[in-house]
Order: sequence, then C-alpha cells, then structure tokens
Amino acid sequence: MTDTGLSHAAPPQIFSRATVSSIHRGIFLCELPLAAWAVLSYGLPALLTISVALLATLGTSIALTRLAKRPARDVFPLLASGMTLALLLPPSASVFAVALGAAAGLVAAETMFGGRSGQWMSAPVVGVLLVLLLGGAGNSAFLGSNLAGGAWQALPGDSQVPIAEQLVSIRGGAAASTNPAELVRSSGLGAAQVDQAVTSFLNSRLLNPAGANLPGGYFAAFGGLGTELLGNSSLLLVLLCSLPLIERRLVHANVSFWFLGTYSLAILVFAGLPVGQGLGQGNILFHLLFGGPLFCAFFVSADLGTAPWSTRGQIVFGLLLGLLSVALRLGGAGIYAPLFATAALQPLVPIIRGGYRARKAAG
Amino acid sequence: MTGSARTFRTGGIVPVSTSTVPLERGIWKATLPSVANIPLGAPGEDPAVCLVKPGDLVREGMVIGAAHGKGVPVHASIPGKVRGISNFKIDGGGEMPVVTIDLAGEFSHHAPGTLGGKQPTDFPPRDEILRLIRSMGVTESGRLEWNIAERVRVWAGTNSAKPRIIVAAFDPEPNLRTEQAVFAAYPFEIVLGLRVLVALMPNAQAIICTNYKTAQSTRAVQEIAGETGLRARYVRVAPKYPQHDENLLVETVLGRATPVGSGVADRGILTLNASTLVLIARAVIDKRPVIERSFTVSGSAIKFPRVVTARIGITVAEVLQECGGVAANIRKIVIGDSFRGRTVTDLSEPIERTTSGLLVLADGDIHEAEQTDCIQCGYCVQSCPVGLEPMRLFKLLQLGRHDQALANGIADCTQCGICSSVCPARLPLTQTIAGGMHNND
Repeated sequence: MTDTGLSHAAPPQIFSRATVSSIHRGIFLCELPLAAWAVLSYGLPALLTISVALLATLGTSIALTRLAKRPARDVFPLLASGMTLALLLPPSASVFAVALGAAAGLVAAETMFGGRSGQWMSAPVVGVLLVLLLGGAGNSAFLGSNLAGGAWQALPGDSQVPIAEQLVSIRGGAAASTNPAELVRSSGLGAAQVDQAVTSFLNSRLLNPAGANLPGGYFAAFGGLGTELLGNSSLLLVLLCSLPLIERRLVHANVSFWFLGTYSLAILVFAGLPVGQGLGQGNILFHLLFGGPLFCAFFVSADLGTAPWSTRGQIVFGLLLGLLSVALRLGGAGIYAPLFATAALQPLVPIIRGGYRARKAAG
Repeated sequence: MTGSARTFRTGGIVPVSTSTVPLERGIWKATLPSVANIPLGAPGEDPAVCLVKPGDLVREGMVIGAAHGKGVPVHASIPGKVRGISNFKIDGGGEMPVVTIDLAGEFSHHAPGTLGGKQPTDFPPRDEILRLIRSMGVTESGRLEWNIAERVRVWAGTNSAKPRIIVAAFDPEPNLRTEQAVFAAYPFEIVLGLRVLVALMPNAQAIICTNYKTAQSTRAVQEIAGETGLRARYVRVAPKYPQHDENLLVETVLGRATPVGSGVADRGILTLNASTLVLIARAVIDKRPVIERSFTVSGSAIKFPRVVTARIGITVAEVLQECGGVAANIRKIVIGDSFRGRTVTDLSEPIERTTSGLLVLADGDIHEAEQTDCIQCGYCVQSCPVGLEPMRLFKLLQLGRHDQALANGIADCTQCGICSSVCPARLPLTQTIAGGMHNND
C-alpha cells in the first residue's frame, strides 16, 4: 500500500463543529456581558465575587486533577461553571463563602452525583446552595432570609409607587448600598429620569389608551437596574445573551420556555392571593422582573448536562420548575425560588429521562 | 409539487456542505482507464465467483463474475486482457477480490445506446424484467440495502392493493449531488425506468421525491411522464439526514411509521434512487450491464468538485486527476458519504458499483477534536432518527451489559452515524454500538 500521508478513520468522517470546549466557551462568552454589566452596576464587590468564583473553580480543578493524577481539564467548562455560580450570587456575598462554595460545588459535581459523566446536579447550583447555607449571600429583602415579614409581598406590583422607590425603602435606604445604580436612582438623576421618561412615554402613547399602566421602575429593572443577583442585573441583557445560547443549542431552550411559561401562568393565577387579591390577579411582569427567573431559566435550569433530553421530558421538567418556583416564591423563598426549584428537581432528571424517552413507536 | 418540504419526525440533522458542486455543468464523463481493477464484490456484498483467468480476453460488458449468494453478476467495464486476480486490502480491515484488466480491443457499450429516442410501448414479460435487472448487475449506491434486484422481486411478488414506487431524486447529504445530477441529466431514462417497474405492478403509483434544487429537472420528468401517461406524484423533501433511509423515506412520504430496520418491499412499497432507475431502464430496454457509475467528487480539497461518470474499476487517483487534482491541505479521502463512508489511504483503490461519492476533505472540514468525558448534553439522543439513547447504549456496552443494551433497543440502530457526528465529546458511539450489535448477532 502506498503511503499517501492521508489519515485513516472510522466513520463518521465529518463531525459537527460543537465540542465540549466550544459549548462551554459559548456559554462563558454569553455570560461575560452579564458579568461586565454587574461589575458596572455593583462595582468592586461584584468584581470580587466573580474573580473569587472563577479562581476557586480553576484552583480546585487543578488540585483535583493532581490528586487523582488525571489529565488536566479544558479550561472553558470550569470558567463557565465558576461564572454561573458568581452570577447567581448577590454582590454582597462573602468572599470566603464564595470560594468555599465554588470549590465544594466542583468537588461535589465531579465526585458525587454520578461524577463528570453522570451529573445530575450542576456544580454552580451545589455551590450556591452551600454559599446560602453558610449565610454568605448577605441578608436583604430579596434574598429570602428576611422574608418572614413577607417583604416582597408588601409590594403590590401594580401600585403607582415606583418600584425603584419601593426597593430603596425595603432595603432600608440606598445610602447603605454600594450599588451605584441605586445611588443614581435615589438621587433622582440618570437612570431614574430615563425610567420616568420612558415609562410616561409608554403609558401616554401606548398603554393608557389600551387600558394598561406600567408602574415606575419596571423599565429600569428591565434595562439594567434589576434585582440584585449579579446575573439578573439587566434582564434585557439576559434575554439578549440567551439568544446565542438558544441559536447555537448551548442550552435546552424547551426547558427555559416551558419554565417561564408555567411560571408566568402560575403567577397570574396564584400570586394575587398573598396580597389580598383574588385568583387570577397576579402581576406577571413584576414577578418576572423581580422574581429572578430569567437568568435561572436560560443559564441554569436549561443546562445541557442536567436537563432531560427528550422534548416531552423537557416540557415536564419546565412545567415542574415553573410550578415549584412559584410555590417556593409564594412561600417566602424570594428571588432564589427558581434556583431552589432547580436544585430540588435536578436530582429527579434521571427519572424524567427514563420516563420520557424519545423512542419512536414502531409498527 | 406543492406545499412545504416534508421530513420525518424524530431526530435527524441538517448537515453542512464542504464545497459546492455545480450541477448546471452536468455530469463529467471520465476518461476511460487503461487498466481497470474490477471488484468482484464491494464490502458487505457476497463476492461473485470469478469466471476468468489471467490471459483471458474479455469483451466490454462480458460477465467476469457469476452471482453468488445475494450478490449480482459482475461485468467487464472495459475490453481487454485479464492481467490477474488479486485481493485488494481495504483500509480498516477486510479484502476485496478484484480482476485486473488491461485495456485492449473494441468498445461496444461506449457509444450511446438505443435510449434517448421514443419511449417504448411494449415491455419484456415480468420474469424477463426481473432476470435482466439481476443479470445486468443493477445495484444501488450508498444504501444499506444495495441489492435492488432482490427488492424488486419481493415487491413485484406482493399483492398490495396500492403498490408504490418511491424514488429518491435527492442525495443523502449535501456533500453528494449524484442523484440530483442524474435526475437532471436523464429524465427520459427516469421515466422509462419507472414504466419498467409499473409494467411489473400495473396499478403502482410513482412518487418522486426531490429537494428544492431539482425543480427545473422535475418539470422535464413531468413532461415526459405526462406524454407516456405515467401516474406520478411529486413530493419535496427537506434536506435532512438520513432522509434517504428506507423507513424514514416511507414515513416522510406516506406518513406511515414502519418497524425500524425492516424492509418495506414486502408491504408493496419500493424505494430506490433516481440513478438506479436509470440503470434499470438501461438494463431492461437496452440490455446494458452496469459497467459505469455516476458519483460525486467533492470536498474543499478537490480542485473541481463535480459529478463524474466513470467506468467501474477506475482508480481513486485517476478520478482525482479528472477533477483537477487535490489541494496541499488534503487530510482525508472518503468513499461514500461523510456519515457512513470509509476512508481511503491507498489511491489505487478502485471505484465500485455502489460508490456514491468521493469526498476529498481538508483539515478544516473535519472538525476533529480530542475525546473527552460525556457531558450528558443529549445531542445524540435528540438527533437519533430511531429514538435511541446512544450514550446510554455506549455506557452499557462499555460495562459489558449486552442484555441491557438489547433491552434499550440496540438492535434497531441503523448505524447512520449521526450520534458520533454530533457528539461534542467525540465519543465513538456509532462504532461501539455497531460492535455491540455484531456481538449480539
């Protein structure tokens, strides 16, 4: 046989462009704008949280690799994991807790729950749970720990009082905050003025003639003054950054859509009850903007490795996520309700995968 | 032809082309080879029994291998003197018996045949049609079920109330353009081939499946079919792989799921390629044996991608020369399609009767990457046209749990290659599952 220098290989001869590295690189790149906006909004604490999460994840992986004498892992899965963890935390998170959570999350995901190839719980979710258990996520109106008084429930949502002002009052005054966005908002300059101008424009030209009204603060929350998880800083940015994720199939988008759809419907039906309104009186927009479901729906719950594979399985998973998120939120879990729901349901994914296979009925 | 493009429901992918094959230039007729290494059986076939010995003189189209088992006879693609009979070693294992013929003497089939004139009104009797299809060595290219003579016999023997002939006038993947080029170049033979088959089953309905690129050619076929009174329906199919697979094609066209991997001929449904129809027309009407094959030469490392018709037994090297040679960054040459085809490293390998393509791939086409751990992304599950969970089967086979693999449907795998192709961890899913199926046999 003549040596032609050609390669011999078993079929298939052409692979898809996607590799494990490229998938996680794509996720990481989609998260970068969110991280940048979070740093812009929250300043040094956000930068510190993100840096610590990334370094702790990378460092833990290196240590694990050396201990187990395994080949080094590609860096992008680790970066994506560390970044997701950071974006699920508030800027006030304790650096120590973040480092411990990132490290423990990675160790748990790699050595428990089926290991690298059998994950049924993602490292960022485990990590954030640990941070919360350690009390390292701080204590604010939106983090659930002081929700006994039903802080969010005090927000009627459709009140004429701008949400931004309500947020400031709930947090006990923006002066104590390191959040420049809140400082701007409380000063009545910049973003607050834009929010007011856009809200009045939308109300007078579009919504009021149609019998609807957009309360103040909603637009600001959507555009860039969102609730205080780093990943939710700008919900507009979350939506924009999720587009390449969906287009490149870096997440199981079915899960995201069914999750958000169910969440919205359940909010509409039940969320009016705790604030003295009847069934079907819930404020969907308020709970979408201030309930923390968007980042979780696209970047955590729909994660390729921990979501069901078949369309039917993904629908069931999304439905359960939506219902449980609303139940937890109405029960007092606040902004972490979607994450808690994801953490509770991820271990059930193997069962959902087994129960809803894509297998075609023959005959 | 109306409505949107149809396709099957579960799985499948839309592959990406590595080069553009200009169909408007028609089919390139390759120069006759001075030496032909004619395979007596392609991999997977029952090899024919050799009827010649070194020193024998053979005529063009003469039978040099007698049918054996499920095989079909083999004919001399060029006239000349038999130099020898040898076994050609195929990359990746296995051997292919070949008869080497040095060109000499006169051509009888090289000139255009009787086809191209008027459509005949009378056809040979049923048994004669079946005999001719087999004895002229008609085979299908690029299919798992290449033995068309056997399938036609089974189909013609059924007493289906609504027999159908489903013609795939499209290619399994975008790197190949053979069927589209043949459909465009030989509308007369396409209609004639259909009429031959309808002569076997007079109430059969022809369904011609095309893609959006073959609209012009469809009109030509429609016109000729209209003149002959052939009942034909035209269906546009989506460019999805493996649309070509028999069961999926039936599901697409008739909306009827058939047991995976089972034949459909015994249900009164015959599926075949457009190029096979041309071979049938030539075999039955012109008594012309299969001595040449049309196939696509494409890929970013070939200078002139084109559809080529060449004599069987021409070498890969000669075909590459016909297409202007290869680029410096060539990495891999593949016989067949990119999902099921096999690599060629010996350029003296001959073109077979079932060759559908020659992919000449450069580094950037292949997207090779290091194998890593499975990340449970589910791409393989979502792409599997049979609805299997390839990664689950892979794990079970790695653990040696063949019984559980069987329970998870391993026997239904059609080895289409999608799972390995889409796997971001580059796990050898198809190969492992194929090995597991072999062990279960």
